[in-house]
Amino acid sequence: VPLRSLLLSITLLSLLTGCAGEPDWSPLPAQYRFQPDSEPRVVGMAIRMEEPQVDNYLVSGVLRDELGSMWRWANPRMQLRLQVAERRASTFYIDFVISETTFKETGPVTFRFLLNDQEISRATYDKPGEKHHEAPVAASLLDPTVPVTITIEADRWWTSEDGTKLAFLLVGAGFQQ
Amino acid sequence: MPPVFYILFGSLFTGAVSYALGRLLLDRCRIRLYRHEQALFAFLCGASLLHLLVFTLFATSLARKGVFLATGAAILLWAGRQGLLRLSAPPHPNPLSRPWKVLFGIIYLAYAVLYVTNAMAPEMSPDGSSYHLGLVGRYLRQRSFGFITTNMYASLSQGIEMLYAYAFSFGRHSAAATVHVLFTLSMPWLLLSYGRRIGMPAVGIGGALLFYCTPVVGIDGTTAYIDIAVAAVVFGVFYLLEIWREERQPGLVPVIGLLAGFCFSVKYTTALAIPFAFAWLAFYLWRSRKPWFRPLLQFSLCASLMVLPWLVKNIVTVGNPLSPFLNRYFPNPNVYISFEEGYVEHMRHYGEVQDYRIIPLDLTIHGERLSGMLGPIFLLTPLVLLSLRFAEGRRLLLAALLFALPYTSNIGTRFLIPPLPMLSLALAMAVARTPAVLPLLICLHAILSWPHVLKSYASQYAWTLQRIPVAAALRLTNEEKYLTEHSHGYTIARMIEDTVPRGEKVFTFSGVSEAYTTREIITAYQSGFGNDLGEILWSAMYPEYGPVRHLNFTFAPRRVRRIRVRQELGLSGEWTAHEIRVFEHGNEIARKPSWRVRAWPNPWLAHYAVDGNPVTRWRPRQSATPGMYVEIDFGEELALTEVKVEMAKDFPLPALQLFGAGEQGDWFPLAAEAKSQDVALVPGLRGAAMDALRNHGIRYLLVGPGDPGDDDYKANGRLWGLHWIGERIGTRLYRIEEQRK
Repeated sequence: VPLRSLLLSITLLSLLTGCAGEPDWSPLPAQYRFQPDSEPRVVGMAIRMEEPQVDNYLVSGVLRDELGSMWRWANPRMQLRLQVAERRASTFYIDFVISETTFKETGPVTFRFLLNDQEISRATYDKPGEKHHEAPVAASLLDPTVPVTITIEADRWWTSEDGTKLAFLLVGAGFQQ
Repeated sequence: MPPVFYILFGSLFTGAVSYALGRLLLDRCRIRLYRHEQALFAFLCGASLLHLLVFTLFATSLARKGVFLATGAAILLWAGRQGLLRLSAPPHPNPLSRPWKVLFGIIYLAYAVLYVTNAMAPEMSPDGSSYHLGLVGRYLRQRSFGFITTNMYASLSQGIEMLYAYAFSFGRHSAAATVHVLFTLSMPWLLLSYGRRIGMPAVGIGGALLFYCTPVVGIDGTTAYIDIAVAAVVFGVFYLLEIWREERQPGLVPVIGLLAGFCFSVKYTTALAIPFAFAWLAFYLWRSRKPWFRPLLQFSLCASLMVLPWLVKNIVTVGNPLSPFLNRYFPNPNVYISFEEGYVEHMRHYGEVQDYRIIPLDLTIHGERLSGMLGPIFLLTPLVLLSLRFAEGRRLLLAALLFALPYTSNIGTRFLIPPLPMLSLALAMAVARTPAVLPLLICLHAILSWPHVLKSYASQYAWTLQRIPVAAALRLTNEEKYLTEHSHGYTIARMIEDTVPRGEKVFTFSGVSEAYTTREIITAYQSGFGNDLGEILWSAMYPEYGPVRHLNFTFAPRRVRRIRVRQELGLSGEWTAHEIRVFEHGNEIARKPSWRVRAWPNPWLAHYAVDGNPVTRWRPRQSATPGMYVEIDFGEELALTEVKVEMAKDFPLPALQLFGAGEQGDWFPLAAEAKSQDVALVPGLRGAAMDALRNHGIRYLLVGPGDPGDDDYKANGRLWGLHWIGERIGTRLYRIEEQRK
């Protein structure tokens, strides 16, 4: 009999441990005052295409894509805006890809890089693939209080069946200070 | 005194106190052993008792150098007074022939120099300098275990770390590593002794040297890792079981129980020693028709003595006795179920190893992907089947098979170390009767495993010993200089130590050599808290983690006191709630302090769904199943027409249903389905993320090259509210600025 009672108790206890109670209530936490305008500068010094704020940086000439996409197709003339943190001599850089598909039709492509419509650099690429380009920028061209517009122009492009002109794939761009 | 003195004192004192405690135990249990066995088992059994003593001191906040010194001296005095410091047992009856002695002596001594110098050199092994000694240092600073819930490694059993703590208090990091080398140096003697006991001394020598020279044994056993000590304890249990099977000394049973329990205390995976030893004892007692109840009870009680403290510590600290595992059965906010599943899966494949066919060559020759290598001789492992001819061989292989089982859940080479002594002996046994083969294998293994030879064929990334650092070991080279030159982890830890004020916490996605900093490090992958902080940052930097999907439940006006958003179908993923907002005719109803919230599962994060911060979120942290819910109680009846759940898109669209309840508490459906709407991310999430981190007590961020957000922090640090305060080897340290008004 004691053994039976023991076994019965153990079984009952086991069953009881299997019963989960209702979770406890939590009081309402202190409410956070979210300030969507807490980023007074809508754009920063650099952007990569996979970043969530990318649309804030793109002015024109870049095809829309899924959020989080690592690169975006750019037209022969595209613009983006950036804003530096300080007024001092900086380096503009851009990471992009010349697709093998477009290159087969275009051959070597020459790019012009303009800052507020003033040319800061020019480069010609005679091979497709990943490219990184840098150009020095004088402090006098930069103002930490307003964004600058960067324009990238390609002299050759590929036209898709629907008529879209595609020049290159933009990965990221920005200033190094 | 020179630092070398403290290093040697710390390790040798720990070894001596272990030995003395073990001798006292063996004497009380009236165990008869041969001379070498007496010394080796005194050390092993004493280590298990010393670990218990140190555990008790940490648990009672008494752990400090003076107490360690006094208790150690008292134990030595006690054993000395009883004449137990000298070996009293008779020598082995199976002497070694001179050629075997010479071979053993030469190889043993050469490798001993290699191992001891490496152990005494400044400690910089990845796991040793991060969590094995990082936690030891922390325990010693606070003189107790404390209640660490933000580092899952603190919840693993830490039997060997207790010995490290003892030595660390005298000689710091290298003293701890040198305690490990004591186990490494003991192992060949243990295997040799076993060979002599079974009447096969050549097999003993062969097994001893095959194990001892193995590259992964060298690198692991000379650092503050624990695996060689674990292997020693496991083999000790097997060895004692063999002696008990032969001689049936009743005093052996409690000692086997203690050592088998110690197997759990040193590493979860070797807890298999407990059922193994229990089954072994039960089987042979049953076969010989001897009384079984008393010995098995003795065994169980002694094993429990070693196991229970760790289980209780975890129950008290993190609410799960076997944390960081089995969280499904012991739900807690400290290690999430989804993390555990991902972690276990990662360990099963070691990140990128999808094709198991690479394992044999990587284990033996390349050593590139599995963290350590065994050496080419172990390509002959299939020959161990030849040892099945012998009864001893069959028992060795049975034990090896059992202790190799955890390898299926972690394919790192280290996880083959516990069965390696048995495998080495079985391999030696398989070839021992063929003239000259065994000495040839031993010599070949010793040569091929020597660091300078290894470099010629193993991967440059193989985890092996690289040098014989005599100057560093003797501290003729400045320790700081040596560590700075050889250890990135140390350099970064020093930056933290130099820059971050005392008492502050640093959050990071990558690990840090915590043994070299006194600041608290919160690593994203090491706890539920760390997971949450990591997700807060991801929400601000990756679109799919932000609140970019809104589920709108609209319905005819109803007065409700409570609402419940409930998952209706099972999902392979999860669902999340960044914010739940309620509306009346398009106007959001302001939240009141009288509101309450709860969720199931993961009730601990329910408040994130109503805190107003778009980067914090509730998620179940396990695959969504029907019935999971978030519930809000308004404290009074409100007229509602719409409920909006703001969530991320990192998981598939969930099938949610909305229920309401009035004052009476009866639930009724409010809306059977919701309209899903994708919305653009609002700016300002960076600042919200930093505010959330600061509210969680984090004011410093350590970002390694390639860590999430690395580029964005560099380019847009001001938008984040981060101030760059230091950089070493590409790893940046930021201070989170004070909250913006």
